[in-house]
Amino acid sequence: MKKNRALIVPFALWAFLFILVPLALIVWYGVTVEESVPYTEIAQADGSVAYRLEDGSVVAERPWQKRTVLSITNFKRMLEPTYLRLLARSLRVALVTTLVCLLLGYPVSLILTGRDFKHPALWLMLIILPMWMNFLLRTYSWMSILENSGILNSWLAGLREAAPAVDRLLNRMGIEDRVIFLYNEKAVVLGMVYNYLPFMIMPIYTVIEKIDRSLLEAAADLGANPVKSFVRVTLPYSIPGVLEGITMVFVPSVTTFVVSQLMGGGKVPLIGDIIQNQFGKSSDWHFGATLSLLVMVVVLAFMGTLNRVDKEDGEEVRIF
Amino acid sequence: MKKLRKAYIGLIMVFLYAPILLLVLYSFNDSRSRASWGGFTLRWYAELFRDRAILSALGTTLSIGLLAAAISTLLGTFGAIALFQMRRRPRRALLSVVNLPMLNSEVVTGVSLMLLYALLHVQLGYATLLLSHIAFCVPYVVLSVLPKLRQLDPHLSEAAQDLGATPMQGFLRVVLPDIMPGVFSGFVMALTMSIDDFLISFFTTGSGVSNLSITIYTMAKRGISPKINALSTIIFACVFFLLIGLNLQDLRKEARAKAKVESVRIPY
Repeated sequence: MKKNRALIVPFALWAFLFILVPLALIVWYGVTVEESVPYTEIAQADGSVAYRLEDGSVVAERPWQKRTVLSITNFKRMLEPTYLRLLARSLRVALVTTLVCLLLGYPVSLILTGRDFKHPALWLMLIILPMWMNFLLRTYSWMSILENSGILNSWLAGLREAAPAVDRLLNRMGIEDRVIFLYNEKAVVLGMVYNYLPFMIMPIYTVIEKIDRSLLEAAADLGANPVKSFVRVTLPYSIPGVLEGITMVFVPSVTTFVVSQLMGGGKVPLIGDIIQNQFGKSSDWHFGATLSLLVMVVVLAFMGTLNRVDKEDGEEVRIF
Repeated sequence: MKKLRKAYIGLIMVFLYAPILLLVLYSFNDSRSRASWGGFTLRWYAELFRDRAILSALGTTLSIGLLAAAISTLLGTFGAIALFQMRRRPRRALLSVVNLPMLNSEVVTGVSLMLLYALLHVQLGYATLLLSHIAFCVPYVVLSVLPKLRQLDPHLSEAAQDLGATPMQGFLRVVLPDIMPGVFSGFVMALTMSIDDFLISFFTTGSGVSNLSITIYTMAKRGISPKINALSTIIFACVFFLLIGLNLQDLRKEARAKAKVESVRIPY
């Protein structure tokens, strides 16, 4: 192909305007605050009050202008225990979600790429398909399964009625008539695992599928049992997919605010909820930007520790 | 062991599909409450087509999805080609900038775009929603086209030009067909991301423009109308049968190819 500068310029411009400038704006808003223009009151000879601004000019009206100044106020506020606790909870929820997704998803990828299923691609598609139903709706649907008068509880009640032995057993285990599934951290984790599980399965499946079968055959020929050939061949080769999956689950789960609002019923606010609040109800964009900066730093630090393989020659991203 | 493995996949499928099945059931439930079954009905489907708010949200979702996917596929494909032709160092720099939105959480992307529109004094609405969707879709297209470009045989387009093709013809006849699978999967991915997006839309729309996600979010506080369940059932059924159909076609082709190979083999 002939080099074509005409292609590079518009693309680079786009990347600049829609990626770099917005991020720079977050940084700018994050390190500044708005404050009223400072002034001093001076009594006039006729008894009225005038106002002297910093530059020495005197005005008759009380100054109302705001100005933007560099300040670390928001950083100090961010380090208050309230917000640190929120951050800790967000990280905990995200880590647990990622771990559960990995533990549930890795076997799925492993089994699908094995010989049990004739059409693994079809099954993978079935796993991805739920993502076509709006994720708010899917989460909402979980609520109707789990809520106090929901399906699980009514099944439980039915079971108790039908089998008194079960009823006694459950009572002895200290399980009440109505089990409260919703509005706690576990429910939030469940909602996130449900929404992000396909993101874990996809990349791991893609990598395991690409492993040269002859390697596994060679391992078997050389006397490795299935467990050993998994540990020595499949597992090391699948690490890039695992890292990709961890990223794809962890990043959205640190900051989402919808799942926590629905499944947590507002009782389990996460850092994302607070950010949303700052740009909505409380309307403190500067503090919201500071919190966004914090989240960015945390996510980047996480990725750094994951020691990501260079993306330059990275995996192909595919859904279907 | 094999049964155990199959059972595990079965359980995961139950986990993934239980809420969806429930939504489908509710869409036929002749009772507004989620707690009880009031008999089979199609009235939510009938009412759905009279509900202006939902239909206009659906229209917004679809038009934004298709427009954003089309534009970001164009931008992303040409962007990938541009990246591919750059020298190593600037390419790395630009590529890591393009990857940023994928590393960033959606909330941060949404907020940052909102600040951009505030800076430029652009009124939030349909245009900003579309621009934002394009912005977060482009990286996915770039990432699905780039690997295809890397697999491309560079001699092919040279050969085309040696044989008298203009660069444009060379591109259209040689390069494009080869990278088409990547372009197509980029388009599908962009469409999927756009239709399912809530967080970025939430921060970048305004003036009463609302897509399905936002409509559902607003509804979730008061209780979701069964009409939305009906709509989602329709959408899900369409996608389901479309994809199953496409996949079955592939499988059938595969089977036919295998059968041919075998029929050739038998005489030996």
